[in-house]
Amino acid sequence: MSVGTRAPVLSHPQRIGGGLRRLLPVLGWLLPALVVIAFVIGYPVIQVVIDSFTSKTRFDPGEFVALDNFTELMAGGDQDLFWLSFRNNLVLLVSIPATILVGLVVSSILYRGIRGSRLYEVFIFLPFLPAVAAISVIFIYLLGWEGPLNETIRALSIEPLAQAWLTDPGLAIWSILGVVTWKRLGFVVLLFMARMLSIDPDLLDAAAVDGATWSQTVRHVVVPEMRAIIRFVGILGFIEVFSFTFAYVFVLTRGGPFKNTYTLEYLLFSIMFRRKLVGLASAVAVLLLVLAVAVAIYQMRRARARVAT
Amino acid sequence: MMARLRRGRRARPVGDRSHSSRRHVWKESGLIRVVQQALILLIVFVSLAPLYTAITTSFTPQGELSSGGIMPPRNPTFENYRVAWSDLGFQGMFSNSTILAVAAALGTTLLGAAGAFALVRFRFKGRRVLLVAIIGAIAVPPIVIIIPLFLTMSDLGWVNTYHSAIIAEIGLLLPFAIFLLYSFMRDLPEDLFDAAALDGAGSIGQFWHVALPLSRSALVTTAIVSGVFAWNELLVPMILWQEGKFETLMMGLATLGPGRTGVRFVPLLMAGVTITIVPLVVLFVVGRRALIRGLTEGALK
Repeated sequence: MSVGTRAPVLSHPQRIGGGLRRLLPVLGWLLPALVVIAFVIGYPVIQVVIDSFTSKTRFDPGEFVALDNFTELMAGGDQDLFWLSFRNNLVLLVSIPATILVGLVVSSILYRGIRGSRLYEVFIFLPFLPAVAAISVIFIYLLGWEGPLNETIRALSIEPLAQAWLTDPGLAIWSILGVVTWKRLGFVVLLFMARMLSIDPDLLDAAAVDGATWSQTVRHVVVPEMRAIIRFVGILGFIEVFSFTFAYVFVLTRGGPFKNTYTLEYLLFSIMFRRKLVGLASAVAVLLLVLAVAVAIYQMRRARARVAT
Repeated sequence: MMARLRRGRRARPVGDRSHSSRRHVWKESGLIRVVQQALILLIVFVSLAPLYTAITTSFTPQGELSSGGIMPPRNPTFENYRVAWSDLGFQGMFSNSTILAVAAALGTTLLGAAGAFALVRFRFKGRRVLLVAIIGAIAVPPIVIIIPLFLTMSDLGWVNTYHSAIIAEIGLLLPFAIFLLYSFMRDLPEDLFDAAALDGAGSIGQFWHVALPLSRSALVTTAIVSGVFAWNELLVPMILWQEGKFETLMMGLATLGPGRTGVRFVPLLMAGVTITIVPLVVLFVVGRRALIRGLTEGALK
């Protein structure tokens, strides 16, 4: 990175047409970051797409099999795990409307200000801080058959409500949904509060002068102002559910009981690291990638459109 | 994400309310106020109860854990922490997690700052494409890249070396870091760079004497957010640091946590959980503004 000359650093940035010599200093500054990103993200993304069309395993380079891996997934051989996993991801998507709805209510009350608002904000944010692995371990204990939640239920003499929260095949994914929602709420409230505080106070004054109640103001003034951030939170939630919920499933249930809480991430993990089928795992990866990229492009488009108008 | 909302106000940290909303007068019945207050208290309770239970349980002597565990322990003890720290191996895990978090924070911030500086101060062909590609890379799921990355690192013989997980973590965090630092540096007054250039500063001088000092708050934010994410990461070290001596706190919890709900073991586990949370709380108390800014910045743009 020996950039000794003054010339390339322009006092007023302007287009440098060509000439490798003029590009060198740029590369000096950018290259370290680009090399790491290319190594960790760029190359693997290309590799995973290539591998998804092969029968590669950990022990065998495999051969080109066209779309076989994808059709195998879709056909749902293998105990229909693909569709079960996909369904479970859809269940986790419920956390998005849940956090948005509760988040809007909470932040509009906190914004307006009640006694202790500031402290409450911090408290509600706290679950977002610890690692997913750490809070999952807490919930394994809390949701255990003899754990605090069931004991509380029994103490209240509503025994039938005591459940095998994490080990009941039908219930487990909904318990994971609960944990995901619990953890994410603080973050959503944080974003909503930050956005609310940047709403022009005059708008609110006008509503107050017109004699609107606070809930009317929220519905007709605050929420429309916050449309962009609500959509962003929705998209973020979508990305999180499909790309960042592995640790919940891994720690809370290991995909169990009887593979009932598999999600696409967990399916990929188990195909890759237990069954060592690189090609098939890559096909799942490609599907996840397509979803993520589609959503990212959608968000970027919308963000740009918003500025253009 | 890229586009900016051109508004004067910046996001304020949690709890910070420099413009109070109380000057507005809203018609509202007392009953509604009570319901609102109750609702908030309920949410606060639900948010805190699990964390509270974990902490009280971690101070409960083994065997004294009554079912429920909601009341604070009668004879609080540090014994669980001692056992977790030295016998369960949390000491070693703590240092591995620290190495990963600190190295990732420093590496990400350093490379991110250099990259953002280049994107702000130079105009070159393909700059916009590069910028969009980097920001797009934020959306790539870690689980997707972990397969080829693991295979490549295996071929290189890097699995079970310190640098494998550190490089992977930096790579995963860099796009976000560049995005944060780029949006900050772009708003720095150009005159200052020009003045430095007139004084004969080359790009290194401008980076060192103008960009870095002026971006200090953004750098701190980037470092804190990266550090927290790396500290909390499970997948990357789990795949690339498979040997026991590389075990991080999150790997330890993921191994020890499931299936050990026995009354004797739970207080030890909760001590372990609390050990992973304490540094985060310290960081939150010290660098709350920076952390919150990092988490909200992207969303408000």
